[in-house]
Amino acid sequence: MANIDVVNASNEKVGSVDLADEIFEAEVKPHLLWEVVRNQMANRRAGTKKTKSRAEVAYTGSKMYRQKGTGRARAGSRRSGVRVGGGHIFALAPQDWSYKVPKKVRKQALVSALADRKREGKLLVVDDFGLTEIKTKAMAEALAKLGATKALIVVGERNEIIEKSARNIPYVKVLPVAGLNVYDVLKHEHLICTKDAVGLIQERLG
Amino acid sequence: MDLSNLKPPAGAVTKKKRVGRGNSSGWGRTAGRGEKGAKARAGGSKGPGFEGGQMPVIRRMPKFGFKNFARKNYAIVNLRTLAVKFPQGGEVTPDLLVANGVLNKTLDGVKILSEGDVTMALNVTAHKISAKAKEKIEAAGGSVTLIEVAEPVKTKRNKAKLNAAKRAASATTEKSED
Repeated sequence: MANIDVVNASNEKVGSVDLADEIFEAEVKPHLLWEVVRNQMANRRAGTKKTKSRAEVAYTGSKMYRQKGTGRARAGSRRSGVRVGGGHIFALAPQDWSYKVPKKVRKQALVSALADRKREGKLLVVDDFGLTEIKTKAMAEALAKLGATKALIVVGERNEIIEKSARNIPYVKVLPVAGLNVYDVLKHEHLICTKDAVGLIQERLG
Repeated sequence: MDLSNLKPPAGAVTKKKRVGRGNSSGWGRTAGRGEKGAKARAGGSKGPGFEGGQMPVIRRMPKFGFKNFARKNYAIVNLRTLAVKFPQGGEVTPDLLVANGVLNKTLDGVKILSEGDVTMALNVTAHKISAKAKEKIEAAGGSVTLIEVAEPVKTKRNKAKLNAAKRAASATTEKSED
Protein backbone atom coordinates (compact mmCIF):
# COMPACT_ATOMS: atom_id res chain seq x y z
CA MET A 1 0.00 0.00 0.00
CA ALA A 2 1.39 3.29 -1.06
CA ASN A 3 0.52 6.41 0.80
CA ILE A 4 -0.36 9.78 -0.59
CA ASP A 5 -0.65 13.05 1.26
CA VAL A 6 -4.04 14.58 1.70
CA VAL A 7 -3.88 18.34 1.40
CA ASN A 8 -6.32 21.12 2.02
CA ALA A 9 -7.22 24.01 -0.25
CA SER A 10 -4.04 25.91 0.64
CA ASN A 11 -1.87 22.90 -0.25
CA GLU A 12 -1.01 22.10 3.37
CA LYS A 13 -0.72 18.49 4.41
CA VAL A 14 -3.56 17.46 6.65
CA GLY A 15 -3.24 13.68 6.56
CA SER A 16 -2.65 10.76 4.28
CA VAL A 17 -4.62 8.08 2.54
CA ASP A 18 -3.77 4.59 1.35
CA LEU A 19 -3.70 3.91 -2.37
CA ALA A 20 -4.25 0.41 -3.69
CA ASP A 21 -1.13 -0.76 -5.50
CA GLU A 22 -3.08 -2.78 -8.05
CA ILE A 23 -4.62 0.47 -9.29
CA PHE A 24 -2.23 3.31 -8.70
CA GLU A 25 0.99 1.33 -9.11
CA ALA A 26 -0.27 -0.70 -12.05
CA GLU A 27 1.67 -0.92 -15.29
CA VAL A 28 0.68 1.85 -17.69
CA LYS A 29 -0.46 0.31 -20.95
CA PRO A 30 -0.53 3.01 -23.63
CA HIS A 31 -2.21 0.79 -26.20
CA LEU A 32 -5.25 0.35 -23.94
CA LEU A 33 -5.48 4.10 -23.45
CA TRP A 34 -5.44 4.55 -27.20
CA GLU A 35 -8.05 1.86 -27.73
CA VAL A 36 -10.49 3.23 -25.19
CA VAL A 37 -10.07 6.90 -26.11
CA ARG A 38 -10.60 6.00 -29.76
CA ASN A 39 -13.77 4.21 -28.74
CA GLN A 40 -14.98 7.15 -26.67
CA MET A 41 -14.43 9.52 -29.57
CA ALA A 42 -16.28 7.21 -31.93
CA ASN A 43 -19.16 6.68 -29.52
CA ARG A 44 -19.82 10.37 -29.20
CA ARG A 45 -20.10 10.96 -32.92
CA ALA A 46 -23.64 11.97 -33.65
CA GLY A 47 -23.67 10.35 -37.07
CA THR A 48 -26.36 12.76 -38.17
CA LYS A 49 -25.70 13.47 -41.78
CA LYS A 50 -27.82 12.76 -44.77
CA THR A 51 -27.97 13.60 -48.43
CA LYS A 52 -30.34 12.29 -51.06
CA SER A 53 -29.43 9.53 -53.43
CA ARG A 54 -30.95 9.29 -56.89
CA ALA A 55 -33.70 7.14 -55.43
CA GLU A 56 -34.76 9.86 -53.03
CA VAL A 57 -34.57 13.06 -55.09
CA ALA A 58 -38.04 14.36 -55.85
CA TYR A 59 -38.22 14.20 -59.63
CA THR A 60 -40.27 12.13 -61.97
CA GLY A 61 -39.00 8.70 -62.82
CA SER A 62 -39.92 9.02 -66.45
CA LYS A 63 -37.42 9.29 -69.26
CA MET A 64 -36.56 12.95 -69.97
CA TYR A 65 -36.84 12.73 -73.74
CA ARG A 66 -36.93 9.96 -76.26
CA GLN A 67 -33.91 7.74 -76.82
CA LYS A 68 -33.33 8.60 -80.48
CA GLY A 69 -33.78 11.47 -82.84
CA THR A 70 -33.37 14.52 -80.63
CA GLY A 71 -29.70 15.03 -81.38
CA ARG A 72 -29.01 15.14 -77.68
CA ALA A 73 -27.11 12.69 -75.52
CA ARG A 74 -28.99 9.64 -74.33
CA ALA A 75 -30.62 10.33 -70.99
CA GLY A 76 -32.58 7.98 -68.79
CA SER A 77 -33.30 9.90 -65.65
CA ARG A 78 -33.54 13.46 -64.45
CA ARG A 79 -32.40 12.23 -61.04
CA SER A 80 -29.07 10.83 -62.17
CA GLY A 81 -26.01 11.86 -60.23
CA VAL A 82 -24.38 13.39 -63.31
CA ARG A 83 -27.17 15.99 -63.79
CA VAL A 84 -27.54 19.30 -62.04
CA GLY A 85 -30.10 18.82 -59.29
CA GLY A 86 -29.67 15.08 -59.38
CA GLY A 87 -28.97 12.83 -56.42
CA HIS A 88 -25.58 12.29 -54.85
CA ILE A 89 -23.64 9.36 -56.21
CA PHE A 90 -22.64 7.98 -52.82
CA ALA A 91 -25.28 9.64 -50.68
CA LEU A 92 -24.53 10.11 -47.00
CA ALA A 93 -26.78 8.31 -44.57
CA PRO A 94 -27.20 8.58 -40.81
CA GLN A 95 -24.80 6.19 -39.20
CA ASP A 96 -24.15 4.85 -35.75
CA TRP A 97 -20.40 4.96 -35.17
CA SER A 98 -20.45 3.48 -31.70
CA TYR A 99 -18.85 0.17 -30.96
CA LYS A 100 -18.00 -1.75 -27.84
CA VAL A 101 -14.70 -2.33 -26.16
CA PRO A 102 -14.49 -5.32 -23.81
CA LYS A 103 -15.30 -4.43 -20.18
CA LYS A 104 -11.96 -5.74 -18.96
CA VAL A 105 -10.13 -3.53 -21.45
CA ARG A 106 -12.14 -0.49 -20.38
CA LYS A 107 -11.36 -1.18 -16.75
CA GLN A 108 -7.67 -1.79 -17.34
CA ALA A 109 -7.42 1.38 -19.41
CA LEU A 110 -8.89 3.44 -16.59
CA VAL A 111 -6.49 1.80 -14.15
CA SER A 112 -3.64 2.64 -16.54
CA ALA A 113 -4.71 6.25 -16.80
CA LEU A 114 -4.93 6.64 -13.02
CA ALA A 115 -1.58 4.91 -12.53
CA ASP A 116 -0.02 7.22 -15.08
CA ARG A 117 -1.17 10.32 -13.21
CA LYS A 118 0.14 8.85 -9.97
CA ARG A 119 3.50 7.97 -11.52
CA GLU A 120 3.98 11.45 -12.89
CA GLY A 121 3.11 12.96 -9.53
CA LYS A 122 0.04 14.61 -10.98
CA LEU A 123 -2.43 12.95 -8.69
CA LEU A 124 -3.54 15.13 -5.80
CA VAL A 125 -5.85 14.19 -2.97
CA VAL A 126 -7.75 17.01 -1.37
CA ASP A 127 -9.82 16.66 1.75
CA ASP A 128 -11.90 19.75 1.23
CA PHE A 129 -11.85 22.78 -1.02
CA GLY A 130 -13.03 24.87 1.90
CA LEU A 131 -16.00 26.14 -0.04
CA THR A 132 -19.11 27.02 1.85
CA GLU A 133 -20.86 28.71 -1.03
CA ILE A 134 -20.65 28.68 -4.80
CA LYS A 135 -17.63 30.89 -5.47
CA THR A 136 -15.55 30.59 -8.62
CA LYS A 137 -12.84 32.92 -7.32
CA ALA A 138 -12.21 30.77 -4.25
CA MET A 139 -12.02 27.66 -6.40
CA ALA A 140 -9.60 29.29 -8.83
CA GLU A 141 -7.37 30.37 -5.97
CA ALA A 142 -7.41 26.90 -4.46
CA LEU A 143 -6.42 25.35 -7.79
CA ALA A 144 -3.62 27.89 -8.22
CA LYS A 145 -2.25 27.06 -4.77
CA LEU A 146 -2.40 23.36 -5.57
CA GLY A 147 -0.45 24.08 -8.74
CA ALA A 148 -3.09 22.37 -10.83
CA THR A 149 -4.87 24.86 -13.03
CA LYS A 150 -5.73 22.32 -15.71
CA ALA A 151 -7.35 19.64 -13.66
CA LEU A 152 -9.99 17.01 -13.52
CA ILE A 153 -11.65 17.13 -10.12
CA VAL A 154 -13.17 13.84 -9.05
CA VAL A 155 -15.70 13.97 -6.25
CA GLY A 156 -17.33 11.04 -4.52
CA GLU A 157 -20.87 12.21 -4.93
CA ARG A 158 -22.15 15.05 -7.09
CA ASN A 159 -21.55 18.26 -5.25
CA GLU A 160 -23.30 21.40 -6.42
CA ILE A 161 -20.93 23.81 -4.70
CA ILE A 162 -17.80 22.31 -6.27
CA GLU A 163 -19.42 21.80 -9.66
CA LYS A 164 -20.74 25.32 -9.99
CA SER A 165 -17.62 26.91 -8.52
CA ALA A 166 -15.47 25.16 -11.10
CA ARG A 167 -17.60 25.14 -14.19
CA ASN A 168 -16.57 28.55 -15.46
CA ILE A 169 -12.87 27.93 -15.01
CA PRO A 170 -11.25 26.99 -18.31
CA TYR A 171 -9.55 23.57 -18.54
CA VAL A 172 -11.19 22.36 -15.34
CA LYS A 173 -13.86 19.72 -15.13
CA VAL A 174 -15.68 18.14 -12.23
CA LEU A 175 -16.85 14.53 -12.37
CA PRO A 176 -18.34 12.16 -9.82
CA VAL A 177 -16.59 8.80 -9.49
CA ALA A 178 -19.34 7.16 -11.52
CA GLY A 179 -18.45 9.41 -14.46
CA LEU A 180 -14.68 8.92 -14.25
CA ASN A 181 -13.37 7.95 -17.66
CA VAL A 182 -10.13 7.56 -19.56
CA TYR A 183 -10.64 10.46 -21.95
CA ASP A 184 -11.20 13.07 -19.26
CA VAL A 185 -8.30 11.80 -17.15
CA LEU A 186 -5.94 12.13 -20.10
CA LYS A 187 -7.37 15.43 -21.25
CA HIS A 188 -6.59 17.24 -18.01
CA GLU A 189 -3.03 17.57 -16.83
CA HIS A 190 -3.74 17.02 -13.15
CA LEU A 191 -6.12 14.67 -11.41
CA ILE A 192 -7.53 15.98 -8.16
CA CYS A 193 -9.52 13.52 -6.09
CA THR A 194 -11.41 14.24 -2.95
CA LYS A 195 -10.68 11.86 -0.11
CA ASP A 196 -13.97 9.96 -0.40
CA ALA A 197 -13.51 9.73 -4.16
CA VAL A 198 -10.28 7.78 -3.66
CA GLY A 199 -12.15 5.17 -1.67
CA LEU A 200 -14.93 4.94 -4.22
CA ILE A 201 -12.48 4.66 -7.12
CA GLN A 202 -10.78 1.75 -5.41
CA GLU A 203 -14.15 0.18 -4.78
CA ARG A 204 -15.12 0.58 -8.41
CA LEU A 205 -11.87 -0.73 -9.84
CA GLY A 206 -10.69 -3.01 -7.05
CA MET B 1 0.52 10.43 -21.25
CA ASP B 2 -2.06 12.79 -22.57
CA LEU B 3 -4.32 12.95 -25.58
CA SER B 4 -1.52 14.25 -27.80
CA ASN B 5 0.72 11.21 -27.54
CA LEU B 6 -1.74 8.37 -27.80
CA LYS B 7 -0.89 6.03 -30.59
CA PRO B 8 -1.97 2.59 -31.69
CA PRO B 9 0.36 -0.34 -31.02
CA ALA B 10 2.35 -1.48 -34.02
CA GLY B 11 0.25 -3.61 -36.32
CA ALA B 12 -3.11 -2.63 -34.88
CA VAL B 13 -4.09 -0.37 -37.74
CA THR B 14 -3.81 -1.33 -41.37
CA LYS B 15 -4.12 1.27 -44.04
CA LYS B 16 -7.11 0.86 -46.31
CA LYS B 17 -6.28 -0.26 -49.83
CA ARG B 18 -7.58 2.36 -52.26
CA VAL B 19 -8.05 0.72 -55.61
CA GLY B 20 -8.56 2.40 -58.95
CA ARG B 21 -6.80 5.64 -58.00
CA GLY B 22 -4.26 5.76 -60.81
CA ASN B 23 -1.61 3.46 -62.21
CA SER B 24 1.19 4.69 -60.00
CA SER B 25 -0.63 3.34 -56.97
CA GLY B 26 -0.15 -0.22 -58.18
CA TRP B 27 -3.92 -0.77 -57.96
CA GLY B 28 -4.93 1.28 -60.99
CA ARG B 29 -6.29 0.05 -64.34
CA THR B 30 -8.16 -3.17 -63.45
CA ALA B 31 -8.01 -2.44 -59.71
CA GLY B 32 -6.94 -5.93 -58.72
CA ARG B 33 -9.86 -7.67 -60.45
CA GLY B 34 -8.00 -9.41 -63.27
CA GLU B 35 -9.15 -8.40 -66.74
CA LYS B 36 -12.33 -6.75 -67.95
CA GLY B 37 -15.60 -8.68 -68.19
CA ALA B 38 -18.54 -9.84 -66.11
CA LYS B 39 -16.32 -11.09 -63.31
CA ALA B 40 -14.69 -7.67 -62.98
CA ARG B 41 -18.02 -5.98 -62.24
CA ALA B 42 -19.82 -5.57 -58.95
CA GLY B 43 -21.97 -8.65 -58.34
CA GLY B 44 -20.12 -10.46 -61.09
CA SER B 45 -19.82 -13.86 -59.51
CA LYS B 46 -21.89 -17.00 -59.85
CA GLY B 47 -23.75 -18.29 -56.85
CA PRO B 48 -23.11 -21.54 -55.02
CA GLY B 49 -24.38 -24.55 -56.93
CA PHE B 50 -23.87 -22.94 -60.31
CA GLU B 51 -22.61 -25.52 -62.77
CA GLY B 52 -21.70 -23.46 -65.80
CA GLY B 53 -25.23 -23.12 -67.09
CA GLN B 54 -26.11 -26.83 -66.98
CA MET B 55 -29.18 -27.60 -64.82
CA PRO B 56 -27.53 -27.87 -61.41
CA VAL B 57 -28.08 -30.78 -59.03
CA ILE B 58 -30.01 -28.68 -56.55
CA ARG B 59 -32.64 -27.97 -59.22
CA ARG B 60 -32.48 -31.33 -61.02
CA MET B 61 -33.58 -33.22 -57.91
CA PRO B 62 -37.07 -32.92 -56.46
CA LYS B 63 -37.49 -31.46 -53.02
CA PHE B 64 -38.02 -33.94 -50.22
CA GLY B 65 -38.38 -34.08 -46.49
CA PHE B 66 -39.48 -31.37 -44.11
CA LYS B 67 -38.24 -29.55 -41.05
CA ASN B 68 -40.16 -30.04 -37.86
CA PHE B 69 -40.44 -26.61 -36.31
CA ALA B 70 -41.97 -28.00 -33.15
CA ARG B 71 -39.03 -30.29 -32.56
CA LYS B 72 -37.58 -30.12 -29.10
CA ASN B 73 -33.90 -30.56 -28.53
CA TYR B 74 -32.92 -32.12 -25.24
CA ALA B 75 -29.60 -31.87 -23.52
CA ILE B 76 -28.60 -35.46 -22.85
CA VAL B 77 -27.09 -36.59 -19.58
CA ASN B 78 -26.17 -40.23 -18.89
CA LEU B 79 -26.17 -41.89 -15.50
CA ARG B 80 -22.43 -42.45 -15.90
CA THR B 81 -21.90 -38.70 -15.80
CA LEU B 82 -24.20 -38.24 -12.81
CA ALA B 83 -22.25 -40.93 -10.92
CA VAL B 84 -19.02 -39.00 -11.46
CA LYS B 85 -20.37 -35.52 -10.83
CA PHE B 86 -22.61 -36.31 -7.86
CA PRO B 87 -20.67 -38.95 -5.89
CA GLN B 88 -22.46 -37.93 -2.68
CA GLY B 89 -25.90 -38.36 -4.20
CA GLY B 90 -28.49 -35.73 -3.42
CA GLU B 91 -30.35 -33.25 -5.61
CA VAL B 92 -29.83 -33.14 -9.35
CA THR B 93 -31.56 -30.34 -11.24
CA PRO B 94 -31.00 -28.77 -14.65
CA ASP B 95 -29.57 -25.67 -12.96
CA LEU B 96 -27.16 -27.77 -10.93
CA LEU B 97 -26.05 -29.63 -14.03
CA VAL B 98 -25.14 -26.35 -15.65
CA ALA B 99 -23.45 -25.09 -12.49
CA ASN B 100 -21.36 -28.28 -12.27
CA GLY B 101 -20.23 -27.98 -15.84
CA VAL B 102 -22.04 -31.09 -17.05
CA LEU B 103 -24.03 -29.06 -19.53
CA ASN B 104 -23.38 -25.76 -21.22
CA LYS B 105 -27.05 -25.04 -21.65
CA THR B 106 -30.24 -26.98 -21.14
CA LEU B 107 -31.63 -26.39 -24.66
CA ASP B 108 -35.38 -27.12 -24.58
CA GLY B 109 -35.00 -29.50 -21.67
CA VAL B 110 -32.80 -32.06 -19.99
CA LYS B 111 -33.18 -35.76 -20.63
CA ILE B 112 -31.56 -38.41 -18.46
CA LEU B 113 -30.44 -41.60 -20.24
CA SER B 114 -29.39 -44.88 -18.72
CA GLU B 115 -25.82 -45.53 -19.84
CA GLY B 116 -23.66 -46.37 -16.87
CA ASP B 117 -24.74 -47.16 -13.32
CA VAL B 118 -25.51 -45.22 -10.18
CA THR B 119 -24.97 -46.51 -6.67
CA MET B 120 -25.83 -43.35 -4.75
CA ALA B 121 -29.32 -42.05 -4.03
CA LEU B 122 -30.06 -39.23 -6.47
CA ASN B 123 -33.14 -37.03 -6.39
CA VAL B 124 -33.28 -36.20 -10.04
CA THR B 125 -35.37 -33.41 -11.48
CA ALA B 126 -35.43 -33.38 -15.28
CA HIS B 127 -37.72 -32.77 -18.21
CA LYS B 128 -37.49 -36.30 -19.54
CA ILE B 129 -36.04 -39.58 -18.43
CA SER B 130 -35.73 -42.95 -20.08
CA ALA B 131 -37.59 -45.85 -18.45
CA LYS B 132 -34.39 -47.75 -17.81
CA ALA B 133 -32.66 -44.75 -16.23
CA LYS B 134 -35.64 -44.23 -13.95
CA GLU B 135 -35.49 -47.89 -12.95
CA LYS B 136 -31.79 -47.67 -12.12
CA ILE B 137 -32.12 -44.46 -10.10
CA GLU B 138 -35.01 -45.83 -8.09
CA ALA B 139 -33.19 -49.13 -7.56
CA ALA B 140 -30.32 -47.13 -6.05
CA GLY B 141 -32.74 -45.48 -3.63
CA GLY B 142 -33.25 -42.24 -5.47
CA SER B 143 -36.30 -40.52 -6.84
CA VAL B 144 -37.33 -38.90 -10.10
CA THR B 145 -39.36 -35.73 -10.61
CA LEU B 146 -40.41 -34.61 -14.05
CA ILE B 147 -40.81 -30.97 -14.99
CA GLU B 148 -42.90 -29.79 -17.87
CA VAL B 149 -41.11 -28.80 -21.04
CA ALA B 150 -41.64 -25.16 -21.94
CA GLU B 151 -43.20 -24.52 -25.34
CA PRO B 152 -40.47 -23.38 -27.70
CA VAL B 153 -40.77 -19.82 -28.93
CA LYS B 154 -41.09 -20.19 -32.68
CA THR B 155 -43.88 -18.18 -34.17
CA LYS B 156 -44.04 -14.42 -34.21
CA ARG B 157 -47.41 -14.42 -32.48
CA ASN B 158 -46.13 -16.67 -29.73
CA LYS B 159 -43.10 -14.45 -29.19
CA ALA B 160 -45.19 -11.29 -28.87
CA LYS B 161 -47.45 -12.99 -26.36
CA LEU B 162 -44.52 -14.18 -24.24
CA ASN B 163 -42.91 -10.75 -24.30
CA ALA B 164 -46.15 -9.15 -23.20
CA ALA B 165 -46.42 -11.59 -20.33
CA LYS B 166 -42.84 -10.89 -19.31
CA ARG B 167 -43.45 -7.14 -19.39
CA ALA B 168 -46.58 -7.49 -17.31
CA ALA B 169 -44.69 -9.58 -14.78
CA SER B 170 -41.82 -7.10 -14.47
CA ALA B 171 -44.27 -4.20 -14.21
CA THR B 172 -46.00 -5.77 -11.25
CA THR B 173 -42.73 -6.56 -9.47
CA GLU B 174 -41.58 -2.97 -9.94
CA LYS B 175 -44.79 -1.73 -8.47
CA SER B 176 -44.50 -4.00 -5.48
CA GLU B 177 -40.98 -2.71 -4.87
CA ASP B 178 -42.34 0.82 -4.71
